[in-house]
Amino acid sequence: MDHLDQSLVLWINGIGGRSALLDASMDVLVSDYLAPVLASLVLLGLWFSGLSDAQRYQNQLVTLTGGIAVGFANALVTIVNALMFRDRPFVNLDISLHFYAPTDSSFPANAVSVGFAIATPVFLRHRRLGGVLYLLAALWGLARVYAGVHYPSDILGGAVIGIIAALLSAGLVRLLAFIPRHVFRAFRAVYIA
Amino acid sequence: MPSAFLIDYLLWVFVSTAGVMQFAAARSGLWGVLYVRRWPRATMAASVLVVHAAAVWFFITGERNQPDTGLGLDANVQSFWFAMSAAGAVITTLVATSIINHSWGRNHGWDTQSGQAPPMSLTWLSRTTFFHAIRARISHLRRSSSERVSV
Repeated sequence: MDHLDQSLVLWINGIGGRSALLDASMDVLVSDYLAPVLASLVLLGLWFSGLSDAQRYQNQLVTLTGGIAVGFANALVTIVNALMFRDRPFVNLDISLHFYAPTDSSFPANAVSVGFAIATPVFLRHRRLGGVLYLLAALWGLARVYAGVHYPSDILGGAVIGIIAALLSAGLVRLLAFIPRHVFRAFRAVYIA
Repeated sequence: MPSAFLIDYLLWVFVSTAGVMQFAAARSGLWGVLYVRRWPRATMAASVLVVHAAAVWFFITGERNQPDTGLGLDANVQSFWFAMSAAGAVITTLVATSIINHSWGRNHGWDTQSGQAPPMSLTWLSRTTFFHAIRARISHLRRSSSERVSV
């Protein structure tokens, strides 16, 4: 498994430096800001979207579920980090680093877990939009491998954690549905929901 | 004193949120939240352009891959400032569109003398502005509380 991980990092990271356009694109994709901001904007847009109250309420539940899922994903990553530490690929392998050098554990990819935590609830309600967010999260992960800061298995681990966090969040929102119902009713009275 | 990096981030989120809100409002028929009510399709196209332009601006105007131990923002700080900037954009949009669409929003279809509660939820912003809706809600609350006192 480790051998496969290392081979993939060496291969993907090795592509770097051959095309200025690819390097520039990856430089933007790998950023800590692009994917989370775009994904959060989708959640925000959903809050205002819908042709009826019922439709908008369902979309607002997606926004809420996504927000809670990010919290769960961060908590799960923190727990895993407390149990194990894995060095970053640039520490152990002779590769080019196309990003700043993070000092926290490589496994799991925290950023990817957040991307998948947001994409999953959106996908459960809006297949196409959720698919786009999954693609964005996956590209974010790929860019991190390309940059030499994660192994592919870190990305996989982050994705699994993100999906689990989203499913937990969806379950919690369904279980405690009376809370958002009351809170959103208060928001509707002041025309922000 | 906020760093130049943070200010850029706040501006990016602010402009993008305003764009996304316009897109969603135009798509959902919330005319009272639109800056340009007459051209919803043009608004949607312009919103997409604004969101893209804001992202391009953010990434070409500086080195954005900064560690959070340096100029960058850590995840929690980023979430906090995202929420602040997005809330600012939402409030600005609601206030500005209430002013722009003030005359149009008067014909909201709710009879102030009827004694019934005004419609709830964002859906009413398809017929009026945020300010008119809030005003109607407050006047209804006042009326119903004074009726309760007199009973």
